Amino acid sequence: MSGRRGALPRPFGRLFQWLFPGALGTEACQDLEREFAQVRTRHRGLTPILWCLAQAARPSTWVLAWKLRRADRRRASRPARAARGGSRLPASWLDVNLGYRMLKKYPVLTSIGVLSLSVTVGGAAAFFVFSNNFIDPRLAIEEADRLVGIQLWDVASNRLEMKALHDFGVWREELESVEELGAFVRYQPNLITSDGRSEPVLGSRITSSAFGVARTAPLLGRPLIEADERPGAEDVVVLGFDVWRQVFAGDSSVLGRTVRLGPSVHTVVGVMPAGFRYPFNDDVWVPLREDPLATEPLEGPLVSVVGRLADASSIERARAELTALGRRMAAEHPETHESLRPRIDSFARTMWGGPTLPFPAGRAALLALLVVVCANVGALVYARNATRVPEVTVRRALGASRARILLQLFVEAVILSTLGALGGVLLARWSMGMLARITASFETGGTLVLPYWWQWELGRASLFYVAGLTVLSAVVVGLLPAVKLTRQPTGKLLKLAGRGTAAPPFGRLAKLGTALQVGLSVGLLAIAAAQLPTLLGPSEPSLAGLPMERTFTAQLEPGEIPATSAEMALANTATWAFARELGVRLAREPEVSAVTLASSFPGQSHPRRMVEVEGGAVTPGQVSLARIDERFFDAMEAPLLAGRNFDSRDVREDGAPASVAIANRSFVQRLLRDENAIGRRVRFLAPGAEPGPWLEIVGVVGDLGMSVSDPEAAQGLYLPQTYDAYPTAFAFRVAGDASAFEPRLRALAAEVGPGLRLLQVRSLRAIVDSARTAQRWAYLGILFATLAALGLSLTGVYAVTSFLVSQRTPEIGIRVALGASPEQIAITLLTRALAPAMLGIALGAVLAVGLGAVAGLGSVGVAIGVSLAMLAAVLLACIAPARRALGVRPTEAIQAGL
Amino acid sequence: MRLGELQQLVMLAVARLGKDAFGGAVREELVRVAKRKVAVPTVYVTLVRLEEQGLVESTEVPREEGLGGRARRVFHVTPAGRRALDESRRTMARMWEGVARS
Repeated sequence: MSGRRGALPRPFGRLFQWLFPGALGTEACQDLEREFAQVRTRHRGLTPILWCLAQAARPSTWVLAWKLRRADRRRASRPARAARGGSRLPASWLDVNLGYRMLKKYPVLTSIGVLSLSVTVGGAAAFFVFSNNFIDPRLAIEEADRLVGIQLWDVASNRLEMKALHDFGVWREELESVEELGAFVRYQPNLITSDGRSEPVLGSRITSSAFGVARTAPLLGRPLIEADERPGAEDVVVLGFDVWRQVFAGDSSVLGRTVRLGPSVHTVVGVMPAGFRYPFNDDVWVPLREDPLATEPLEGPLVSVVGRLADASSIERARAELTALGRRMAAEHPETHESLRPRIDSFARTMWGGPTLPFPAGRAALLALLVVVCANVGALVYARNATRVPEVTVRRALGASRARILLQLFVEAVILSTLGALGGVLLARWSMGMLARITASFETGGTLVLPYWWQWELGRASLFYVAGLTVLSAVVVGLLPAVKLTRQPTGKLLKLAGRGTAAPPFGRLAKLGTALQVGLSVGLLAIAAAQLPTLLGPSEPSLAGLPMERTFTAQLEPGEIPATSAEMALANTATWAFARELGVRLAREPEVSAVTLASSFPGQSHPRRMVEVEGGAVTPGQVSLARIDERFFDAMEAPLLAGRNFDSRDVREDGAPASVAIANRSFVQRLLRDENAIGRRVRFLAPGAEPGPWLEIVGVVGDLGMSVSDPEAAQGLYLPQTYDAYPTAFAFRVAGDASAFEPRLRALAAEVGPGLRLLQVRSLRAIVDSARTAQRWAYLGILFATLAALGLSLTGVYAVTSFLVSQRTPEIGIRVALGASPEQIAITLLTRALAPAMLGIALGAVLAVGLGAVAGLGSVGVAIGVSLAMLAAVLLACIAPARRALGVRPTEAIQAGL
Repeated sequence: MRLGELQQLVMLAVARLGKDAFGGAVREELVRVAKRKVAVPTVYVTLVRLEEQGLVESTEVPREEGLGGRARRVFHVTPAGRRALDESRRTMARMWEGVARS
């Protein structure tokens, strides 16, 4: 075309020829040429080229190309289909049908594949949903993706610096890429109603700008406004929907009424709609009145800063602007800001620790696991494909293109992966439903706080993620083995088909992968086995005899989190003073038979420290600690076994360190070798510090549940109460219905210290049950992971053995014909197949022993037991392929081999 | 079936050309009679679409000597196409009724 006069320039000529196939296409090309010739006679310069470009860019050109090429393809496939026997099924549907038949024909492979993929895809999907709550949560706020949080990060100590009120003032004045910048301080008052009821609520002292960033209109009244922040303005509060419903019974005339929040009285000016709990699980909002710029740097309360990206701005731009501002602040205030760096991120992430958690690494690890699993299933598919060499060869010889065969094998894998993904979605839904119930129970118990935006649901993003995983699985499971198989030239395939084997070697990588999986399984199994006795054993004997149901514990906390350690010490002392007063009032109540103030109670987790016994007969060991008052053992109905109780001489309120201690039975047995404990002396050790003063043991008491989760760590010491350390907890025993007494307890607490929060009012039984439940779930999680890992590694071993059998079928037949016994053949096969598994077991045993030594998660005995169990499981996995090998008939094999 | 203006023009050109209605001739007929210059791919796309809708049919005929010897497609209007054209003309006529001549 290019050589003739009037021909299109070569690239365009080729393009149009390619685009327009068939007779009609040729005519279109000739018409274009004619028209181009006319254009060239009329115009000079670039115009003819521009004309060609315009023709190429026309939508009608591409529509025509699509239609002509489609018609061309149909024409081409008609005779080929007729030659194959005239199936009228479209090719893609035929592939699906074939794939489905293959899955039915190999039920073991299908079950293993679907199950492994379900578990892995399900795990990955559940983790995706879980981590999305941190990385990219969905807040029910207008344009929530433009909401940002700004924090001060101390690079010297690698921690967050929350005393950023002054910096907030500077940012608000100077930042241009972030608008509506506001700040809030966590606020946890007791809400006290006119009839004396008291409820701890969560809220914020918040600037009107931070409140307005959410762009949510109140249900009633008005939001917080700037005038509320002025000194001397009326104390106002905006209530959350739930508080309004519970405390004011949804009364629409609530505006203008007053409510007590701790010691201060606030006028209700607004009620927010249902579901609005911004910024973080809030129920009440009061104005933040501190003047940021009047506050010295690194002074004032602990603030969080929130804003909205300006219309034309982006987070990168804001980051750059903030970094520049941070440098300037560091230069202007080197004494306070030298190591402080402001950083900006999405609001939810700054509130919920997202950037500091390794979620991307977790996702990458799960993806890697998926690839390993798919590689296992892919190895099985490859082993099966080896038996299909004749089929593939015949199709190739009859003219099927390599792409056509690849497509068919890929579609088979897609069906397998899709079934796996469906199973995974179901599994993820089920496991997340379970997790939602577990977390809800912990939230009710007050031991877990999840942000209000938390969701355990597979949303659209998660389903897209699963779809991506499905494609990835299909590629690894089907496409890669198919590519490896079809890479052989037809001539070689014909030879292989004649011999009855596919023979391309099995990759070292797959063997190494199998070894690693087996190793991981052994390690996990060892951890799970080591936990088993604790969980399956009887309930903690040290709790027997305690008045678990009738004894209630509770904790007192200050309304606002203290900003400095000095403030913390003051707050602790003040809180203890309130607790002691509350204890006095409680003791006067007729239903209450005992009251005690202690740092920890039976069933709760106790702090642990290293203790040295005078005389040094036994090496120092970790012991549990509790600070108690003299009424503790009476309240727990636990008489002393020897010696005396603490009395008023021991409780030193002048801050002097304690000089006495009471040991429990396990302490005496393990650290004093059951010798007489009274009068012996102990002291605390701390790494890098001087040992503490010697304490004299004055009494011995039975084990009182200091370590429910680990009976091995039951040894403990009781120290006299000092009334200055966190946490401030107390317990009381009631006669009759304890839950009916809780409102009275809250009323008393509100009278004594309206600014304090009364938290976690629970019976000792509830504490122990909650601890055991958490432990049980953790164990189930480990067990599930172990079983999954075990299943995966067995799949790997099965795949290796299967492949070896299919690869060596002719050889085995010949050896049988030459007189080899079944045992000899089984041994040859198993030694080869078991080599990676044995390597894995050795690795796993080392891992298990290492974990046992470092983290106390097992022992050599457990590791050996688990390794033997794994060996048995691996042998079991080899049985089916080995039986298949021994079933090879010599005549067939020899015929195929020759 | 409702026809677009270009579809009507292309079908009419096919009908006028009779056994000479191949792609290039249809396009020239549009230029010559209707004074409409339509891009080459547009004409062919319209023909292919009309064929997909069953309004025109094409047959491959060998070219005369001296034209490269390759076959080419000649279109003709099907009975369904004829009915669609008649319906379009009647619709236009009805719409024109009562409209004063300028």
